[in-house]
Amino acid sequence: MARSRKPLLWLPFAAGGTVAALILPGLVLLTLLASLGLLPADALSYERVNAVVGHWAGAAVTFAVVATMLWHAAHRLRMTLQDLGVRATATRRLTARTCYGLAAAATLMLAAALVAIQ
Amino acid sequence: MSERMVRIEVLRYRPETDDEPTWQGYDVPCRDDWVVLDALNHIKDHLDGTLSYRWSCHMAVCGSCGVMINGEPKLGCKTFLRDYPDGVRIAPLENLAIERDLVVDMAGFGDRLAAVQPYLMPRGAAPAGTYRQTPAQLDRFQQYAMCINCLLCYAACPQVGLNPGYLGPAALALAHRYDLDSRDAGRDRRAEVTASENGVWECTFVGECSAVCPESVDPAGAIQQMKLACSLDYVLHPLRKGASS
Amino acid sequence: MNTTRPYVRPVPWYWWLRRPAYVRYMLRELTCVPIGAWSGWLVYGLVSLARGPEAWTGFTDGLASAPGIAFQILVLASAAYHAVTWFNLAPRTMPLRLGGRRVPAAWITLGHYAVAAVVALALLVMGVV
Repeated sequence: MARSRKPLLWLPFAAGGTVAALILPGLVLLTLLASLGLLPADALSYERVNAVVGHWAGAAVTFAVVATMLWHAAHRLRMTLQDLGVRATATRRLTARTCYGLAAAATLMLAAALVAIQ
Repeated sequence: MSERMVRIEVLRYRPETDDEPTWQGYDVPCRDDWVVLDALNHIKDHLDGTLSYRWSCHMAVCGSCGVMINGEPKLGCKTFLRDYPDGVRIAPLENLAIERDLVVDMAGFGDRLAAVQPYLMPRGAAPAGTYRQTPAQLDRFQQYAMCINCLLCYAACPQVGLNPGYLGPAALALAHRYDLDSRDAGRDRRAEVTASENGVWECTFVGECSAVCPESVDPAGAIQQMKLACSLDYVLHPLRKGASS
Repeated sequence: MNTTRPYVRPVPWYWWLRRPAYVRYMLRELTCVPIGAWSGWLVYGLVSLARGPEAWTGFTDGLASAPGIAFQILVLASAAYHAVTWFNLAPRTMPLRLGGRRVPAAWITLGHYAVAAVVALALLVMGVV
């Protein structure tokens, strides 16, 4: 048996899971409170968010946070679909390609958007 | 010591006559302090001599008497009937092929244990006299050496049921036991098997293997540690992919 | 002589409904759906930010809409359940040893909660200040 290439998928999964666990609750709480009007009206204003994400450091952090969460979710979804019965070889491959394909597409859009914001 | 009648349902399977397993019930007079194994022995001795099951030590060290009790993998000698006032349904361990009644096919498990090379592969020649090991070095791997091969973890792990080739919790925990031993240098060679598609990567950390383990081995923890170790290896030492000489 | 004809019990797709521990596992795994969808929506948000103030306002209006709020509550619940399960499992993936002794698992878990709380506080302060 040869060594699997799974580490290439598992490391982003583990990183994204850690990010999602440490950062996501606070992040969603922020947007939820802002959406409910419980924070100052300009909490998520264009100027303020642009100032953070427009700085190269803010963009780098944003990319790391969002991209790792995308790949974490993609890998977990793929494994869960296998748990739920998608195990025949052809459908397995299709599931994997769809999950990782979506994550890849979203990652590219993310990078393009962040570059455009700079 | 008082007795009460307990309803024991057992999943029977006789390969020479049955197409599929069926439930058979027995009413067993049980003492207060009886375990499930005592009831099985009573059935075999007094009610139905055809009942087949494995057992040996009756004190939770040999790992022979693993069965499903009301849907949970447990050792028959460690499960007290007084905790089951409504009786018990006993089935062979899940995810393993049934040979006869409560006896499951263990041949595949033996192959998996052998496949992880569960022996010391030392660096260089043996020392004159004995190896020396500090208590801290022993503490690193001792918990993973406590496995009694009872297969409760295989019954609890859904991936064992879903992927017939998966090495499984006990075999992987055993590999980890040797990987962590300070006397051992065989991690790369074991990784050929443990880091393969049928190795640690089939695990999705359900964690039930560790929950049912009677020896607190924590195979789930062992497997995650191996995932991390071989992922870092993969990234940091990409040239070290083949078998080491 | 005995006949050897092993019986293999098939595993149905709803195997995870058979034990409460499996149900909790499946719920944990399914948190990836809201989390993934939220991440995708964040990407859409950043694309909107790149397009300019009007597109960004459209995005924040979406967040403030009823379905947007409902979805954020779902994501918050998913993120919380994911975090709790992740922090409980972290010490077993990375057992720490300091000075030759094991760091108790509870400390590692509490350490994770502490970091998460600090991050949440920092984000909220950034939003308010």
